[in-house]
Amino acid sequence: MELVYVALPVALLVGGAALAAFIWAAKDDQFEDLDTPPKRAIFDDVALKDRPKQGGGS
Amino acid sequence: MSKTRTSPEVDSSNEQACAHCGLPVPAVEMRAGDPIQFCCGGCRAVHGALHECGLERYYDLRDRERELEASAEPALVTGRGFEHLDDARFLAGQTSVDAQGVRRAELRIDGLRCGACIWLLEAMPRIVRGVMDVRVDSARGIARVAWDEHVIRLSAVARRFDSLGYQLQPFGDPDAVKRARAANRAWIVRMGVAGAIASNAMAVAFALYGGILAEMDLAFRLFFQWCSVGLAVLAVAWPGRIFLTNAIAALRTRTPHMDVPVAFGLVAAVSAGIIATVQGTGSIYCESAAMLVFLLLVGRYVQYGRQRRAREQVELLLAIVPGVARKVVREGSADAARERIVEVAMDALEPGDVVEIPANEACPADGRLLAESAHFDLSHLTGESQPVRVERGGPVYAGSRVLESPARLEVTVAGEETRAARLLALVREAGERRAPIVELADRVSAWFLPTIFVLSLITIAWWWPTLPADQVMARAVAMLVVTCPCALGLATPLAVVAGIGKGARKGVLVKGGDVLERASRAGTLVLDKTGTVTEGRTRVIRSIGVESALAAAAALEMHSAHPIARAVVDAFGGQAEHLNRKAADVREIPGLGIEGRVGRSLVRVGSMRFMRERSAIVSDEIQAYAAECKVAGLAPLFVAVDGRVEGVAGIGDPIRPDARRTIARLQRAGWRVVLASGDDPVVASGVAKTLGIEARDAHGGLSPEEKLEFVKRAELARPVVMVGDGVNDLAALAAADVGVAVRNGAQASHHVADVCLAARGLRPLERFLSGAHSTMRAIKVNLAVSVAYNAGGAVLAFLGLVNPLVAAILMPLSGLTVLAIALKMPSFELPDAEKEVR
Repeated sequence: MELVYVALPVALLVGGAALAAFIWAAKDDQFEDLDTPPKRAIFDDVALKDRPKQGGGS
Repeated sequence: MSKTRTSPEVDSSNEQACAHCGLPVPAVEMRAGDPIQFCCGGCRAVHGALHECGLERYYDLRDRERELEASAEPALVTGRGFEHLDDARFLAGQTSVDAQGVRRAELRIDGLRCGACIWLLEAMPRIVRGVMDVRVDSARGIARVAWDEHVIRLSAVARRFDSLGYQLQPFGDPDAVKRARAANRAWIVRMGVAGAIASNAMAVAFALYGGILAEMDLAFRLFFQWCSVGLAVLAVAWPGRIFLTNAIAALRTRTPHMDVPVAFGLVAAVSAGIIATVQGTGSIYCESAAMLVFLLLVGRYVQYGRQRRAREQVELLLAIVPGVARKVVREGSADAARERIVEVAMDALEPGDVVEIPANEACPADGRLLAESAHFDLSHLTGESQPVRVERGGPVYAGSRVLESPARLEVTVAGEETRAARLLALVREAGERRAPIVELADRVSAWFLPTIFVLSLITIAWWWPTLPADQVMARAVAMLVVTCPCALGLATPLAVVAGIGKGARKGVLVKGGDVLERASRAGTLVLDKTGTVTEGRTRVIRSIGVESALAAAAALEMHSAHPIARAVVDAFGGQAEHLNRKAADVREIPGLGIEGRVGRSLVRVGSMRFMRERSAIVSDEIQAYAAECKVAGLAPLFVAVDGRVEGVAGIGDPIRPDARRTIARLQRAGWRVVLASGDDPVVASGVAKTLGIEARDAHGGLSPEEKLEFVKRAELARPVVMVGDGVNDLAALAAADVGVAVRNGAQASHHVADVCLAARGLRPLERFLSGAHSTMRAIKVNLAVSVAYNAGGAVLAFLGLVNPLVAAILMPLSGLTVLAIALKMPSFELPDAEKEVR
């Protein structure tokens, strides 16, 4: 039973690490746009036909 | 009249679809013999550009996406130069550059429609040399662009985007965007931290209550208690601090605020926990405090997200007025003056300056016209669907678009004082004045902690004389746990989020729970005519007459750019081509009609007055038909061949086929339906009559300011739901209790409105109203269930029938019940009658 003196702080530390990762992700603006990334994922990338790149302008 | 043909409705089923956007191709744009057709020049240009770049895959992706979002919009290619993006001040202020000369900027992007657009834009670096990276944020319409300064200028990048139908624009106030993003980040962190602490506190509490049941040693119990207290202190001091600071501010200013009882409850719960733990006796209820912080923050965040969107999108409104103006500068002496055009920022304009406006662009300021005369599109400002002709010296307003040819303007009013800017100020004001609705969850939970404290005190006081102390405390603990406000706190946000999610899947985008709450009761429904009730396009609705005469009319009208002429060409242009009719000696008589030679006959097309003045013979049949048209709210257009009227076309903006029945159903549901239109009052009342709207509720010729006043009128039954899609409706949309915009309308209207409908027409509107109603019902059921659960739990705990462990296991069940109700409740369904018809 004395194990809880170690186990509980360790559990809290693991939880704290996950929380730190979450805060990093939030500060990295990963929760800013929740609509685009799921759409981006379906564009399995097919290589574009080889064409000379053009400068800008039109 | 052997070949007389009556067409009740112009058949549109055999129209060809545009190869780019899928909309029907109008007759004028038809190119004979071409297997692929386009609805407009924009679509043609974009289609060409896509093929040239090898990006045909866009269409595959788009078709897949379109199954999800059924919306089609023609592409817009402005052909602008975008030189203002190369402005040194803009580059210095809003972009950053690294050592390799790669510049990065965050820009607003217009023209996004679906996921395929994201793919297309993000494929740009592979097509355009010098563009290093493009990332699109489709939710906010933001593109992050990185480009190599040495290879390409930003204006060239923007022109490339424009050629594909997307327009880049700098933000009006980039700092405000950054501030809003930082605030959002703070909210997410707060919510995440609160959630993590609450779940850990719950885990510790499980151990604690389980231990009490198993008669755990006091040492272990104290250890768990200290952990629990520590977590609760953390929850209240870190993410929950916002409640404390809000409460202190409210106390200082002596304004009542929901956060005051919340803060009191949190502090009381935590201090009681500390005291109990220090003394080593009694029970603690710290996990309730941690959970409450989390649940309240979830509710607040939902509310905050809506406000943020509303605020940041008001910024986008400024896009009605261009950011740059082309100023005409005179150099040299008075007699040998040379002119030069310089691009200046809009803010730099002053009264007296002369500016040139390129064709199809918006005026940067209010002013007087210097050209002989020009046509202006005022639809953004006033909702007038027809172009307006302005004579030399006549007033022109910022935001109106000059049509066909460039024009010069002497600026009279610039900057914040223009009519468009004052309109925007009204929008902001109206948006701010709207009373904030306190989330129902807040209102309930604010009184929650005090209530359960009192209940536990009663439990203790009641049983103290008759039961041993530890049993009394066990009952008190059970009371606290079983009444944990999980379900109560989640009831409203869950129902709202589930409702908003269901709506979004059915093409109804609702920006917040308070919107659903406000729209759930029947009140006044204010409809804008153009585009909402009608299709928003002048068309020939019905016609009678000799086929060859109508074809001749089309041949004649091909020479005119008037919207009525376009409608005639749309309807009969095919026949004119088929019969090979060509017009010559065409003369347009302003306000009356058009005349010219087609073949060997003299053909006149125009109003009754035109026919009378040219003494054309009008038969009784024609007269009767014209009268019929007028009754139906259509303007009759006569076609005379060699002095004899041989055809009539009823011209109008066709009413949507679903409008009448939908309005009748809404009226039965208790809504007072009102028509408020910027169009001609006679037309408005004609449309109202067709739709079954009472004559006193039909208002035409309203300016944007009048529309705003109208919506704010006190005698209208609340809530006032305003539906509109023009920029002229913006202020009214913002001021109404619920503003509903229709997609495909003006971009800015989506941002101000509380609700966006993915499709035009009234059926989606009906879907929204029924969704609001059923979501409110889900909220009420949820609240009732959770209150009943808590009340029942409290009684059981009071009687000692619930031990702390069972209570701690049962407690989340109430949350799950509430979740199940929120998800399973049918919502945003169309009324049954409609389904049968379909």
